[in-house]
Amino acid sequence: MTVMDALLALEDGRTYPCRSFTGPGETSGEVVFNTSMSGYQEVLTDPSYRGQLVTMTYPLMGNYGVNAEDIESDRIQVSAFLVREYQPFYSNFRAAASLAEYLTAQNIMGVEGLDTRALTRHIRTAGAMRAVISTQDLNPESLVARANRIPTMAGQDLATGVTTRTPYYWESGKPVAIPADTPLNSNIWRHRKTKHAVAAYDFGIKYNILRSLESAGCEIVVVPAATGPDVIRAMAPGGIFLSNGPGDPEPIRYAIETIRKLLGYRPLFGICLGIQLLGLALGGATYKLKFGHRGTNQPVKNLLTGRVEITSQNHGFAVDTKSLPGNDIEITHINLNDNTLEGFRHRRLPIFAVQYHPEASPGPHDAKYLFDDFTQLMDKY
Amino acid sequence: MRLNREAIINNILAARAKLPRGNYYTQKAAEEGGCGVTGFISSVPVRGRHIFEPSVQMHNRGNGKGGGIAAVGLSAQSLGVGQDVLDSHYLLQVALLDPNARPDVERANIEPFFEIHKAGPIPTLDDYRDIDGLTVKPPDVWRYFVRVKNDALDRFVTENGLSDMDPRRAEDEFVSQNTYKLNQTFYASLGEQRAFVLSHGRNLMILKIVGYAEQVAQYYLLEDFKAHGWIAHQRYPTKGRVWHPGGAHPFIGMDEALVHNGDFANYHAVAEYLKQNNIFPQFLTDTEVSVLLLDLLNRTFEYPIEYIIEAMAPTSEHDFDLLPADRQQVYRHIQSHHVHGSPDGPWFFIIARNNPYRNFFQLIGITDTAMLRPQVFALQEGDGVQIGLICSEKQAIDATLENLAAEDPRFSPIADKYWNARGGSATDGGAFLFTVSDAGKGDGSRKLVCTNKFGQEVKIPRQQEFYKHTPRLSVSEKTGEIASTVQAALAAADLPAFLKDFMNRLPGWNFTDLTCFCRKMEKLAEADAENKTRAIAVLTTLNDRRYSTGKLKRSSVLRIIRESLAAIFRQSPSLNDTGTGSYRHIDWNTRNSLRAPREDEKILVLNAGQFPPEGEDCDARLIAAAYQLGWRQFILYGYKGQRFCGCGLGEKADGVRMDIYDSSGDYLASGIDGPELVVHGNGQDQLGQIMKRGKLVVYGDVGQTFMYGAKGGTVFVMGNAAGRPLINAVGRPRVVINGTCLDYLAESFMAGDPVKGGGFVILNGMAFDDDGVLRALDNPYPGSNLFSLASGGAIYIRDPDRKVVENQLNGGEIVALSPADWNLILPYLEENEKLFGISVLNDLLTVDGKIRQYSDVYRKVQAVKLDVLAMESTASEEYGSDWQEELEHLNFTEILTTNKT
Repeated sequence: MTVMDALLALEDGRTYPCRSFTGPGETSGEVVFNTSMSGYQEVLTDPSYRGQLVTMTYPLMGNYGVNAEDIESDRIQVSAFLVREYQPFYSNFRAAASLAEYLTAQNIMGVEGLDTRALTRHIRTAGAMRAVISTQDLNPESLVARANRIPTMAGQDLATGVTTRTPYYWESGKPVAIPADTPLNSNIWRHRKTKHAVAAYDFGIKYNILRSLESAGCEIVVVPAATGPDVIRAMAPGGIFLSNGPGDPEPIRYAIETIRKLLGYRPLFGICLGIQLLGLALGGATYKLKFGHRGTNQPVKNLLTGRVEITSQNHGFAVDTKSLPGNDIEITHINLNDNTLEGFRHRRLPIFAVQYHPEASPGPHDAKYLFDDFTQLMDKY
Repeated sequence: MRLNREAIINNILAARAKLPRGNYYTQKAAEEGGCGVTGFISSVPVRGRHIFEPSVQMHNRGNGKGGGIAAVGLSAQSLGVGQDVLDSHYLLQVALLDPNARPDVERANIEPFFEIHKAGPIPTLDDYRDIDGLTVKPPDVWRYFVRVKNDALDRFVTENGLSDMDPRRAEDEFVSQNTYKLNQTFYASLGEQRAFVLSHGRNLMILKIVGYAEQVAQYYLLEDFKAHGWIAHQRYPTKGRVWHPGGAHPFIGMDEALVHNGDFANYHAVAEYLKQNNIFPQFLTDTEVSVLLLDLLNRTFEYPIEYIIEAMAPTSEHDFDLLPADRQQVYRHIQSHHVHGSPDGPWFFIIARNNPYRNFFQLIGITDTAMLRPQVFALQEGDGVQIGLICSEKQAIDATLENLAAEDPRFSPIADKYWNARGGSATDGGAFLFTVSDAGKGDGSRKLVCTNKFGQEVKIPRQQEFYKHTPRLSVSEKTGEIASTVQAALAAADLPAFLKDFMNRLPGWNFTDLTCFCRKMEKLAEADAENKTRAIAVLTTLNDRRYSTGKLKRSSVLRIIRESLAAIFRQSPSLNDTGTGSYRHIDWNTRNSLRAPREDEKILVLNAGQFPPEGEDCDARLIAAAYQLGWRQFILYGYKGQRFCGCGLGEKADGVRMDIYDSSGDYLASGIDGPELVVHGNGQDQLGQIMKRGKLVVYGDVGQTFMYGAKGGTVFVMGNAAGRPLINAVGRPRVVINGTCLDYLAESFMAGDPVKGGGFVILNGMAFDDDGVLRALDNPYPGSNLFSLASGGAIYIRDPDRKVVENQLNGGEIVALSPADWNLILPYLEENEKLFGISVLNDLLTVDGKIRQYSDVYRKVQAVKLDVLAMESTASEEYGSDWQEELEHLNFTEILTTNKT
């Protein structure tokens, strides 16, 4: 482990000296905080964190190493991982390597010695911020200036960068490529009689959503974000899933158009970015949250049952509750921390979506019932 | 036909059913946090002022919202009665919250039933506001010496079918029921409480107030009042209603007063159990139900004390298997009958008790099976007197003894033995009893004997000479030899060599010789810094190491050495003074003179004695400030339990060395990153918590939750660790414990792979005997839950006889040591040898006189794949059947479709 001095600079001029535990490096992005105590490997590989510097409020990271199983996509998605204290000596029978080795192998910066709670409190007051972290440029002034030159998250189509290039099956817990010459039509399904055929849009999908759908009895074909409505109709799936993904939903115009054309065609279930895209397709508006919701302890109230679920979340944008037009949309879930929208359904069409992550990973399984609800909805249509 | 025991019990219980009853609560009034409890009992009566010092030191364990004390074995003279009256009469003390309530109380509950031998108010200070910090006026207390009137007792016995009961015990029951009625009328049933009974036993009294425990003694003028046994309590209720003295400890049984540190998890269950026996709490605290339960088992069921302890703190797990078969049989019955009514921890009881039937006084400490509260026991054989002490903190014991010794030369400031009880164990039963009974000399003198739950005596060497402190110094007859010893101390190439020399001479010395030697060292230290450093090193070695003290008591030898060390430390010039030299002194009075070190000033000597135990003005903050100013070397002495020593230096505080003397406090070395701390004596609780890096050496034992959540550091402990050491520790802590631990050693340990840089604990399971000889303990680790649910790191345990069994583990496995393991731990054992004189070859690897292979002597406990996780794949872990079944399925779809418009 090479320990090097590093500096984190925020766009508003604050700097935080820290140490890199992954050797030299420099990277930039938006700084966001996550309040999970464990589950760092899932966080690192969650495509919704694409391009972000993620900091953890829990002070000790790395103590159980990394393994081949707890991944949510095929690579580390965050730009950098900022922790209070890194623990190089890991303990877990599943562990195959240390966190530092894992980050270094994928050329992702890891820094420690940062007062992550002070950073978090600052972000909570001042809002999510662009930042640069470097072991090469330790000059606060120049680093702050550079933080101000990086593009903001709003207005960027990040999903296009993380979506799969080609469609694939999700089978037995892993992706299986669909041969390039196989046409996407109704013959694509191999278990139509026994399983629910789900076309899953990948805007940066987490593997555990796919594991969850499979576990709920679905056969899944994951399709690229830009797949048009005609292709979906040709596939004739039992249901359509709209995945999570990074950043701002508004620039992903093509997906919003596609979804609008699929409204009412088959049951639609959206998670995270999926609900935002659905909201926009239904005529609503989205906005950037001050500092987002990221963690495994976000309280959500299910307004239909009155039950509170402790949920896993990761989003920086949200659907504006008041923007949803007409009487067709019913709010089903709200966040109890700030009363923002966490779920809605359509009163006439088989459409429902949640802002939080029922698939957890990491996090509690309180909301796992939604995957079964999706399959039951498909049974009815 | 005479009634058998069971019929009498039933009649007693039936009699209680007739008592008036108010609202029945199974909710306690207040939750309590970590209270401070302390108690001592002596073969001779001692003044109430001695319960002060420990109470003052434990202010941070209370919030002044309730304090109380109890005394047993009282002075008849001070109470103005004859000894016969004190022995035979009930000492009824009624707290009058409403000063006008007395006539009503006497008319309703006293005059009709009691022959009053003597009655009157307890004398108090004229004005409670004379006591600093006392804001609520303590209740007026009226004291009565009473017996039950014959006609009243006859009626009671006849009405309740108790004629076959010992009439004296029936009288006890009458008194107890009368107290209940009085409390019900004047306390429990009222919104505005008027009066309640503080105590009603024989030769025992309780007083309590809204305030701190020592204010009780001050207000009720008990500072000079003498009694054999005293207990005190600082209450720290964490929530609850308005505070009143009724809720403070101690609580009365019959002839027992009980104080308690803890917070039951099952108040409701215990209250329900009592209710089934027609016993109804009136003050709604854990402590009250504890003493009611004790009274039920003791007076109604007439259990011997061993069975009472078993009913309250059952023997469990591996320890139960270790009990002899006949005991197992009895305990099984006790447990099946009482386990549902036994208090579930955390709790630690101290009970002061008079047994008028067998004519002894007793101090009892009982810890819960899980040992969730700190507890220290100590025993001292003084000059013809004995004293036993039980406290939450070791420093409180030392404070009591120091206070006592200053007044009465028959006591010493250092106990002969300090130890912890192992809750619910087969070894000591988690309880110790100090019994003061007639010495059998025919002169009325008394003796103190300490036994554990099973009646086995705790022994200390009794033949050795006690050092009676006198201000005047006699002249040694061995001036020549002493001078040559001083020369040897100066000249010796290394300290172990000098120690060897000293050990050869000491058996021929008396206290005068030793004192002269120490005074010479003090003189030497005055000469120059080099000699001072040498003198400190020499005396420190004599303080730290274990060796035979011959015909002299070890505690007395230590006292002389420590007094000299303190004198040398005190000699150092203050920071204000002119003068040169590398030593500079600071204390509470000169604390504002702190400045950066100048020129050759190197060592800051701090007397922590008068500093508050924690907070803005505490010594730990001063030390951190001194470090910021550039000081790197510290001698810290005079401790009376001040906390957080060494904390707050920040990251990478390398090159700092602290030598800590006397009764250091909780959290020492917690969170340190780099410094080296050496504790020249026993440590207290929570040492080295979340420690990151650095070195900690303890020349003694350490207390509860040692190194909780530590992430690194190199640590050497000469003696034992109490309960729960190294729980949740991660990374690379490397620890040698030469003694043993109570339980839960390295639970949830996550210290990587030790041979690849991770952490480990070496547990040697050895102890020095009274002659300074290192011997293997019967079992290196007698408890359960060794390395429980650990996922990394290892324990290397010296266990040549293979006493530790898989049964004691919970998720780990025992394997043989590899050469890599031995190469890893050997340097640590070598350092251990340097520090404590525990030889790798001659002590650790030698078994029954023969040197054995390391692999025959040591065993390794390491982590295994945890079944609970390994059984299922990651996917099924995420969607495992366990939680799915638990989850009530919420049919979202149904709601979606039925609500469709």
